[in-house]
Amino acid sequence: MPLAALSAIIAAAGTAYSIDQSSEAQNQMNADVQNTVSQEEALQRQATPIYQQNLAKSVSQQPAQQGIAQALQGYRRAAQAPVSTQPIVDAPPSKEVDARTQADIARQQQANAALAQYPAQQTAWSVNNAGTNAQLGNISSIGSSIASTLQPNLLAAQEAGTQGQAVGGAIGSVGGVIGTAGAAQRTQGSYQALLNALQPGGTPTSNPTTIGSIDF
Amino acid sequence: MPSGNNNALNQLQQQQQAALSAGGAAIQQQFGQTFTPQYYQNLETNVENQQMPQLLSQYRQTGQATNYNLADKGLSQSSTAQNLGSSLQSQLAQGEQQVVNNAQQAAQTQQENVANQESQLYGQLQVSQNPTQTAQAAANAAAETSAPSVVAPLGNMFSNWTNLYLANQTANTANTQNELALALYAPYLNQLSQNSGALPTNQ
Repeated sequence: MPLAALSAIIAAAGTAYSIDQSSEAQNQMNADVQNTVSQEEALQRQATPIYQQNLAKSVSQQPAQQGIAQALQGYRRAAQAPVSTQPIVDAPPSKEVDARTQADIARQQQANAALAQYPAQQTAWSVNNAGTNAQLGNISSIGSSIASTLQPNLLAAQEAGTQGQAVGGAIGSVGGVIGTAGAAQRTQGSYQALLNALQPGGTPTSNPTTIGSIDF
Repeated sequence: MPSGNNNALNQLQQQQQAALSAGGAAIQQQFGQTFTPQYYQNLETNVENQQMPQLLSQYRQTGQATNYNLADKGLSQSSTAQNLGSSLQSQLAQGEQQVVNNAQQAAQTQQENVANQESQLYGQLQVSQNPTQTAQAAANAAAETSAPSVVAPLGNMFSNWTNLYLANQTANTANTQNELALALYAPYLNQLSQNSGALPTNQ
């Protein structure tokens, strides 16, 4: 095979290999990005219902109602103590006064119990938010770790591609060297043919260009 | 290569998930067995048991002082005594409600403290991803948080009532003096009020 043809084949192979390596690196990087995005989307799908559940609990009136009921229960229990039910001030008994007093106390209990809903609701929010934050924090932590692996993966793929391109370049260089050697031989052959023609009795070659052809 | 990276990512996620699950379980176990509903109920009862006797003691003292004052003025069997007794009983009910509120507030505050502690532990776990360290921290935090806190002594729940009672007495005395003054100066006051309503004339 002529050196020029061999050179062209090897150079082409080097270029093809280089392109192939570059393409593979690009594919790898695309796959890394896509994979990371998929994982993050999966985590987001886990997080969404947790947040929605928190939202549903936040607007629930149940803790407030429980707070009212619990406070009323406590007030009534305390009011049943023996000391509370017996008058302490020496005074003639009066059903009218007693009834008025009991009505006043009942109104106080209702009013204070209504106020008790706010701290109860506040506590429910705090506990609920803390639990939700813990769950979302776990997911966020995993998501951050996954995202942090993307850049090293991309750099690794890029590095692999660069090395592949370097090998392709080296192969191409070999082809170039062979091509140069062939050209040198051709030049030397032409020069030799010229010398032969100039020498007395020399036999000029009919096709000097073929002199340089050698089997490799 | 893509499948290799994918596997590595999955493995990483599984490892982290396992560490977070193990750490979370340690927190839940430690806090779950310490801060039960019974724990909060006991806390509430303890506060009530500490403050209610103080309240009742104040009630008895105030009642005795009131009885003494009423007897001193010969009003023990009067409607004034009935109204004061009713007012004092109402004041006691307010005090009882305050004590119940204090007890429930103590339990609620503790619930929020516990939730915050748990939240902090989860935060540490998410950074360290070390379940063993988290379990130890959870044990320490649970022990520190569950330690009984000192309940502040109840203030004087009847001071306002006593002040109001005394103020009423003073006001009654002052009202008597005002009524006397009004009677003395009534003619002048009547004339003054008639003149003040007259319209000016052009003459």
